[in-house]
Amino acid sequence: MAVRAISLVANGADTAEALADLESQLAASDIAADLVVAFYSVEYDDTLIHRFLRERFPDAALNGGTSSRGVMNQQGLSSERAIGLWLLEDPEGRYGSAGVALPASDPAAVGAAAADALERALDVADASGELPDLIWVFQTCGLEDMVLDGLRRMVGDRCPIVGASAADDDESGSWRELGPDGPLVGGLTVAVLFPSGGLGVAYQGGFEPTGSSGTATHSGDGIPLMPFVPSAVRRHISTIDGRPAAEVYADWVRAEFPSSITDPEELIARHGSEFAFGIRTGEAGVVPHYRLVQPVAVSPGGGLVLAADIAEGSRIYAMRGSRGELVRRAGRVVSTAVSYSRQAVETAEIAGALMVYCNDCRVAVGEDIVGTADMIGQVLDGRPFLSCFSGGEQGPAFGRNVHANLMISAIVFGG
Amino acid sequence: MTSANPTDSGMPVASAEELRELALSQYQQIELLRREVGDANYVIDALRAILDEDDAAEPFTKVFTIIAPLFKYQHALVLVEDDESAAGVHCLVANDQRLVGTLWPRTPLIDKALGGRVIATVQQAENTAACPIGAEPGILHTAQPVLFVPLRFRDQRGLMMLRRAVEVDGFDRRDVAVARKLSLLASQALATRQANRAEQERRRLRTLTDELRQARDHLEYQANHDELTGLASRSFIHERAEAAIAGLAEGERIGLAFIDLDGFKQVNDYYGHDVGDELLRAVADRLRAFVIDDTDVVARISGDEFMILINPVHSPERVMELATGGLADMRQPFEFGPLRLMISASVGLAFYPDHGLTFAELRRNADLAMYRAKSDSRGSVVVYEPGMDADVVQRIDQEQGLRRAIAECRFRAVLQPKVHARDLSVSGFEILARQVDETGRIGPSASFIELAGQVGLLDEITELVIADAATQVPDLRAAYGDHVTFAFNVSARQATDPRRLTTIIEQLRGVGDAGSFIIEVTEDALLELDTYHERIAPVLDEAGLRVSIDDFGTGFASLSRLLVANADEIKIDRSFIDSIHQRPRCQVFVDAMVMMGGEIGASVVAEGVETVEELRYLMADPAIEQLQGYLLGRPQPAEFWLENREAVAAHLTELAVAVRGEAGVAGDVIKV
Repeated sequence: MAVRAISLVANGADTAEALADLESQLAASDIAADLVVAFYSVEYDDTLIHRFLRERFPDAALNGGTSSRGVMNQQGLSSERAIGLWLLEDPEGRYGSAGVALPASDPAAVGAAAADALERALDVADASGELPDLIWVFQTCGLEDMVLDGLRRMVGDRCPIVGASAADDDESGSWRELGPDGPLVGGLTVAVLFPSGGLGVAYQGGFEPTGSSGTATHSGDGIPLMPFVPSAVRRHISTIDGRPAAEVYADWVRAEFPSSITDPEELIARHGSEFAFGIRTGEAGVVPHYRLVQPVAVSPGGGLVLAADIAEGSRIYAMRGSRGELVRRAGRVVSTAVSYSRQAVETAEIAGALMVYCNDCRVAVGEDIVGTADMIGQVLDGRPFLSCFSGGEQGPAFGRNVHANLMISAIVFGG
Repeated sequence: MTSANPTDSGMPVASAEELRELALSQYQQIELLRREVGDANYVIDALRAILDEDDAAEPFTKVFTIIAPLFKYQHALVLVEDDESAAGVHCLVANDQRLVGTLWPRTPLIDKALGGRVIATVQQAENTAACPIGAEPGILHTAQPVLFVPLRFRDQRGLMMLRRAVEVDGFDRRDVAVARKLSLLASQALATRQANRAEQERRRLRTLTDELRQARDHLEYQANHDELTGLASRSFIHERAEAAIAGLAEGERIGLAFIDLDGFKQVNDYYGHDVGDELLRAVADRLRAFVIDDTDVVARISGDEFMILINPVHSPERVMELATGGLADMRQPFEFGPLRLMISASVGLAFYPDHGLTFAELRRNADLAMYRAKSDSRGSVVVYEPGMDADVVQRIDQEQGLRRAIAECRFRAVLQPKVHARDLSVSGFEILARQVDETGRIGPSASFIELAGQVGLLDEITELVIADAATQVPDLRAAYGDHVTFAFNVSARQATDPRRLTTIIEQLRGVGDAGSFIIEVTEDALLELDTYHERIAPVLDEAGLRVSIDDFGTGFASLSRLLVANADEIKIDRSFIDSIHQRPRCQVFVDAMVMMGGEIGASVVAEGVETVEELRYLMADPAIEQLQGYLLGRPQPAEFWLENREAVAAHLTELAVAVRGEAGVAGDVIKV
C-alpha cells in the first residue's frame, strides 16, 4: 500500500479554538496516521493538544513540541500562533516513539536517558534490537550533544539521527516537548522510523567561510552560564589562538560588518544570526564542509558560551550567511533529500517532507521567509511538508550525526 | 551529469556556498554509484556460486568467501527451519565448522528474519544476538553486531546470519540495503537449484544474472563517464592520474591541462540548455582529437570545465604547441543547423613533477594557470608558475569585496552632463556607477566594472545604481527642465538578454516617464544581430526607450547593423575626439560617422571633450548636436548638480562665449 502524508496548520486565539479548527480539517481526511508530529506555539496548552491527538490517533507514534512563532507548510508561513500537524500513513512501515524528561541536574545521565528512550521507541515499533532507517528527535535546548552521545552509543552513525531543539518566541526558556505520553519540560522525544517507501535526508547550512580562522586553545571548565543549561560542559571556549575568544569573535565580526561597536555581547545580539563559527566536518573532493556553531553569550573572563560543542584544539572558521542564500538553501535541502530518497527506492514517489528550519536563519531572512516556504513548495511540486522553527538542529554531516546551529534539514518520505 | 545546467534542481548557482553544496552532492552521488557497482559485483558473484551447475556441493561456503569483503563478518552461518512448530532452527552451514548442526532458539529477531525481514542489530547491553544451545563456549559472543538475511529454500524458511567481531562497528543502512537484494536474489537462486535446476527457471535466472551484469556495466560506465559527452568523469581522471604518478620512473613526466570554455554561459543563456549541451558534446569531440597516447584521458569535470591527462609527456614544449593548436581548432565555428557559434577556451597546464607531486597539487596549479589565462588573455594557454596563487587570492578578495559591497548596497549613481552643441545648455545626464568604500567614500572610477562583468555581478550593481538615481531624477528634472534625458549604460550581455533588459525597463518605469531614458549599449550588443532584431528591439520599442550606441567607432558594427538597430543616438568615441583639431585623419573619420548618423536619423554626440580647442572644432560642425566631456562637466553626485545649478550654467555660458572668440576662459578653469 502506498505511503500517504498530509500537513495541516490550524489557528485559534486559544488552544480550544485551534483544536476545533484542526478537528474540522481532519474531518475532511480519511488518513490513518502511523506517525504524527505536532509543532505548535508555546502559548498553547499542550496537555489539551496531546489529549486531542492521542484520542484521534491512539496507535500512532506521536511526538513534537514548540516552534518559534508559527510553522510553515505547503500553504506558506502560518500565523505566529498555530498548530502544525504532520501525518504519515504507512501501513507497511513501522514507527514508534517514546519520551523522557532529561536529568538536567545530572548531565552524565542524559545519554543513558536518551538511549533508554530509544529502546522504548523500538519496543513500541515492534523492532526491539533492530537498527531503524532513521531516528527522529525533538528535544530541549542545551543538552543536545549529550543526547546524541547516548543515542550514538546504541546506533553509532549507522543510521541518520535527525531532529530539532524546541524553541519559544523570545528565548525565555519556555519551550516544551511533546511525547507519546504527554507534554515534557526539559525533555526528549525519540521516534524510530522504518518507512516502507524509503526516505532521503539532507542536513545543510547556508553559510560561507569569510577567510578568518583560529584554534580553540582553551575550552575552559564547565561553568553554569544559562538558566536552562545546568552546565556549559563542552559549550565554552576561553581562548582562540591564545586571545580571549570574545575579543577574537568581535574582530572577525567587525571585519565583515564594519561598525563602531566593540562590545562582543552587543555584536552577538546584532549579528548572531548571520555570523557564526564553523567546524569542519569533512571534505568532498577538495571542498571543505562545516557544521555551524553559534556564540550565544560572553562568559566572565572573555570566553564565549556556545549553542553547540566545540572541542578544545578544534580549528574554528568564521562563517557568514546572507539572506538570499538562506532562502535558496531551504529549496536545495529539500531537493537534495528528494534525490537521496529516489536513490534509496528507485521507483519511489514522494509522499512529502518533514523539515527543520533554524529560527535564527528565519530571523536572518526576515520577511523573505515567505519566499522560503514558496520555494520548498515548488521543489516538492505541491506535496505536503511541515517545518518547525527550531532552537538547534541535529543531522548527519559526512556520515556523522552531529548537533549544530543555523542549519536546515529535510526528511523526504517515498510514497 | 547529464546536463550543462549547474544543478539538477534547475535553480541557478549564484555563490560559493551553493557551489560548495553542489560539489558535496556530486561527490556523494559518485561515491554512491561506485559503492553500488562494487556491491552489485559481490551479489552477482554470490548468485553465480549458487547457480553453478557443476558444483554438486552446497554453495554457501563459496558464497561466504565471496561476500566476506562486502560485509566484513567474523562468523557466517545459514540457519534453516525444519518446520514452523519446531522450537529452534538448526545451522546448515557455517564458516566455522564447530557451529554446523547447532540448534538455535527462536528469538524474536530470528522469527522476524524467518518471516522475511532484513535486520541489522543495535548495540544494547543485553544484545539480542542469540547464541546456539549447547555450542562450544568462546566461539560466539552475545554482543556481536548481527545482520540477518532471510533465505527461502522452496518449502523451508531460513536465514543467513552474519556476525561481526564485538569491537567492530555494527552493520549500517547500506549493509541492510545490499542484504535485501541478496536475500531476494539468493532465495530465487536457491529455489532453482533445489528444483533440480529446472531448465526454464534456470534460464530465467540466467537472464536475470545477465541483466544484473548489464546493470553493473552500466553503473560502472556511469561512475566513470560523463553521461552528456561520454568523456571520462572527474573521479576517473583522478584515479588514472594517481595511478600514472605511482607508476612513473625517475625523469618521466605527465601533464594536466585544465580547460575552461570562454563565453559558454552566454551561449546557455541566449540559446538555451539544449544548444549548450549540443555545444559541450561538440567541444568534447574536438578535445578527443587532442589525445595522442592511449594512456591520455580527456574528462569533463563540471559544466564547461574539462581536463586532459597527458601521459606521458615527451616534451612540455610539444604539449604547449599541441594546446595552442587545439585552441585554434576550438575557435573554429561550431555549426548546429542554421546556428553558427564561436567560442574560445582558456587552458592552464601543470606538469609532474615540476608543478606538483600529487594529482591534487597538479590539478590546483593547472586550475590557477587557467585562471591566469582567463584573466590575462582569454583563449590562451598558460603554464603554471609559482606565485600565481597570490594573484588568484587577491582576485578572490576583490570579488568578495564586490559581493560585500552589493550586499551592503554600497553603490551610488554619479551623473555627467551632456550639453547641446549650439549653446552648451544641459541636454541630459549620463548615469555612471561608483562603488562606495566601507568608510563611505565614493571610489574614483568604475574600475570594478570589468571584474563585475566577469563574475556575473553587473545585474545587481545596475539595479542598485538605477535605484539610487531614481531618487534624484525628479529633482534634477525640476532643476534642469523636463527635456533633460537620463542615459544608463548596460553591458552587451544585459542588452542582448530580453529577461534582464525587461527587469531594467521595469525598474526605470517605476521612476516615471520612460521616454526620458536612454539605454546606452556598446556595439558588441549588435553583433548578435538576429537576437537584437527579434528579441531586444521590440522590448525597447514597446517601452518607449531610446537607444544610444556608446563608444561608437571602436567596435565592429557595420552600417547595416546600425540600420537594423534603429539607434536614436550615436556617441563618437573619445579616441576620435582627442586633439581632433590637429588630426586630419580623425576629422575624416568623424565626418564619416556624423554622415552615417544622419543617414540613419540618429542624433550625434561627441564624447571626451576635454579642451577648448576640441570644443571649438566640434561646435563648428552643425551636424554634431550634443557634447560630453570633462571640459563640460565631470561625473558628480546628483547633489552637486542640484546645489550648483546656477554655477554650472554660468560656467557653460562663459565657455560658449570663450569658444566663439570673445574674452578668454582657459579650458582647465571649468571644474564642474
